[in-house]
Amino acid sequence: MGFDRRQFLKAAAGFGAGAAAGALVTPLPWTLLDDIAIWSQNWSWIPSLKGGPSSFVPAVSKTCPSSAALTVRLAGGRPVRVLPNRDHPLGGGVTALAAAELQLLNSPARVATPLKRGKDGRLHPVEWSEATRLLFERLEEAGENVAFISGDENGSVNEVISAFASALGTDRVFLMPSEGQCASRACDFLGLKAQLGYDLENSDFVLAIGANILETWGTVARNRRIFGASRPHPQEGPAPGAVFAYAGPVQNNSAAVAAPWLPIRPGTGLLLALGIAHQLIARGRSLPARDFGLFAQMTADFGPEAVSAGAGLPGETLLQVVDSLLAARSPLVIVGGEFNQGAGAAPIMAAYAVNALLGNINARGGLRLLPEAGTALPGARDRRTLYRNDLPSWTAGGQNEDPPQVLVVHEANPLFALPDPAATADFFRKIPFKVAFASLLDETAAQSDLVLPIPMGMERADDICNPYGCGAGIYCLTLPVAPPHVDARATPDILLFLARQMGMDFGMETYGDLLRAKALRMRANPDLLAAGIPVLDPELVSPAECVLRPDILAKTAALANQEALSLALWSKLSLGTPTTGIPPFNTKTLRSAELAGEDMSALLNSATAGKCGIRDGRAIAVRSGKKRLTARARIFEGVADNTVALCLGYGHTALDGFSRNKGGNAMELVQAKAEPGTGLAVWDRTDVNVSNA
Amino acid sequence: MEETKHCTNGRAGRFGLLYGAGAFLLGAVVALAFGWGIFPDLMFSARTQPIAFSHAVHADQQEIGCFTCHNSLADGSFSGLPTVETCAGCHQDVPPEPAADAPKAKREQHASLTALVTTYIQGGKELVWQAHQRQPDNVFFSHAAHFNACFSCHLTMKGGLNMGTPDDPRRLCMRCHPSLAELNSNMPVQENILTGYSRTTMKMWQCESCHAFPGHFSDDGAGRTAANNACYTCHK
Repeated sequence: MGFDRRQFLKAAAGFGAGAAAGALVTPLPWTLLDDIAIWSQNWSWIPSLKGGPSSFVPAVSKTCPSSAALTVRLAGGRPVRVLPNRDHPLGGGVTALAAAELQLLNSPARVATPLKRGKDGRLHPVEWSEATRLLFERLEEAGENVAFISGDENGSVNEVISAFASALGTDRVFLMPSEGQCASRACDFLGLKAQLGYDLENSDFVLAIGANILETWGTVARNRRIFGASRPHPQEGPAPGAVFAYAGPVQNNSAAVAAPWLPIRPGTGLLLALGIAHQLIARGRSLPARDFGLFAQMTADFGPEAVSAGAGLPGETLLQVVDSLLAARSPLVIVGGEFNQGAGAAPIMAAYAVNALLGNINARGGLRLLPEAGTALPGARDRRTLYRNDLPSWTAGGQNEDPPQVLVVHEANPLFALPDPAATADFFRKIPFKVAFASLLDETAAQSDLVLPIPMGMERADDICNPYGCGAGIYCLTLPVAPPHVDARATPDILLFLARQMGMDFGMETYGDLLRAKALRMRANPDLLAAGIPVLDPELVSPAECVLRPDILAKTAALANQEALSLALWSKLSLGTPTTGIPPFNTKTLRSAELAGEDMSALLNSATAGKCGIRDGRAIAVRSGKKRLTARARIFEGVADNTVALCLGYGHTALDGFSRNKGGNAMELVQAKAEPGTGLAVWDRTDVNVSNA
Repeated sequence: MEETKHCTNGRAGRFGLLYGAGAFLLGAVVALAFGWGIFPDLMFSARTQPIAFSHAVHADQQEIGCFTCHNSLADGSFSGLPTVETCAGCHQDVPPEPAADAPKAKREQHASLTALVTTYIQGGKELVWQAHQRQPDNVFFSHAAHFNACFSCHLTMKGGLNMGTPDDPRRLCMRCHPSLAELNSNMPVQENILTGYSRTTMKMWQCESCHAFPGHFSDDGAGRTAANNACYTCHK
């Protein structure tokens, strides 16, 4: 018997089959399969995390309007995570926008290189040398016929812009509308040379009227820290140390945690404040102001019935609120716009009067009059002066004037953020040459003739001076935590470079020089500032010369029509700002009840919806005059009666796919009007009607 | 001719069957031996640590706590491995030369300490430790969350689920980590030649031994659940 070929093949087959069978009961195939699956996740072209030694650097957000103080964790020198800075007066937590800042550095909408509009109407990349030469030529040609818009409210960049404008011979420098502007104008009319500050830390009863203090108003990270500290966990500490009450038309994040939430109709914060003032006067409170008598007479029209009719707040609730304020040790009343702009100066003037009647001006836990910071750059204008230029009034009224030859926009998106964006766009089209200093290609940058990429907040050295809402004068410096991800240059450095080219002499060559001079002006140690330690100014301004201006308040406080349907706009930081759009990092926080596909939601309570014949989930049209916006109706009992609530931040037509064509821009329904008495543009009262779409 | 062929085929068939069965068994034995004995080690290459380090000397003899070297960062995340700065807190000087007849282990320890002091501490060079457990990029893991969650119960509860004490939580740490505390030398780091991960990197089923534990889904009485097994809890 031999071992022939056939037997060899049989034996080989048997061996193979045995090996295969045996292998199946070993780790070999299963481990190999698992390892291959893992291996396929780590191919060289798949991005992977890069580690490195951890370090932590302080920063203050220039992107988030809250000026949140942050700590940024670096891994191997690269920023990887935003954390709170609990040791900083502006810190305590991380806002939704600040948390997204690092990811925004890599936004697909990032402007990576200077862009110039070509003859084909499109933006094309150009070299920095060509871009600055073009801007230089246009500015030379335009002479004094130039205007500037800045979206940075707290930085010294405005000193460079205003000094540059002054040297050109123009005073047309505008800041984007804000609460700070309304408060500053209120102080102007009240005769106060001060910035309003709010000592939330030491107040035991905070009544926020309109002002969404825990989401978008003022120094939000700080406000939340104070709120959190005053309310220990029920199982871990005593009862809340302070009461936070909120009055507003929408149960926003402040209202959701407030005790109580007082639903009032949109834009009626002034009525409520005057109603409280009347009750305080009726209970014997008075003020030494020379026009107090007239003020007391004027507030007599705002009894509980009048407030109930206008604001929709029951009279007995008003009286309870007044009782609570009087019972508190350090009450504080904050009045602001429900979406941080467009509410005018009068409500804040009334809030000043209420706080004065409560005896808390410059008191612990009260309303504080902070000295205003001066300028460090020769020829620069201070913030109070810049606030007097009212941008919406200019763009609306400017349609009948000669538009500027050149418009320079720094870190702002007026084509999206101002009321009635279509009318604003009409005005912009009349301007022959528009320049946008922008990090992201937003609506304004996309319509500009020249776009110059600037570093984002985390990539540049900048400062923050007295952000609105803080309780004491504060000056902070923030240094870059990462080099610019793109070929970007800071706006003030470009303007200082152009200034030298044009023969202007400010005595400073770079923005760094100005920041050092500013630190000295603020009596700060630059090294400590660079280490993230701010300088605080404990001084306060006396209210001795203050007047109450009942003439202005009387003109402004027209009672609302109880039967009309009002539009309540609201906003939240997770949806970003007009310049950032919706950060991709935050899209996971959007619930389907807020944005379903590309449909935004319009919130109504069931009574209002029933009155209008609207059912939950149906597409509806919200109309204001000839303007129309479609949305999906959501029945939500956290909306005041006769009110339709729309969230701002949707409806971008530029930026990236995370923001573009998601819902509609509610500002399209809104038009600015002059506030009676102050002339400041206001847009917090819009009557609308709704119907099934 | 047909008959002869039949007869031959029948004999050959029986032998063929024997050959086949034998070969099958041989193949199975070879595969089992390879699969269980050789293959697991074949997939890994050894990586050496920068210096020889004895956990036994530090943890047991010197009674240095784990968190002296393996501490948390300011954001609560785990720094994992000590930097040379940590070592320099104790090891500033080159130790005295051991006697010529000193045991081999003593001489090796001296060589290691000398290298640490001269090359790394005095030379300003950072120690590049080879990590035994580094999570994949698609996993988010926070020691801070686990310290709060796991430690709050398993260091204090009664019975078999108690895994240490607040002063000595090592048994609880070892639910995930290999025990190194009693080792007198470096535990070899074995890197998978296909995936690049260490052999001791945790697999998802190991995470789920706690995360998917049914008792963890009940309320602990204070309104908190002890673990969450939703995808987004760990995966980005």
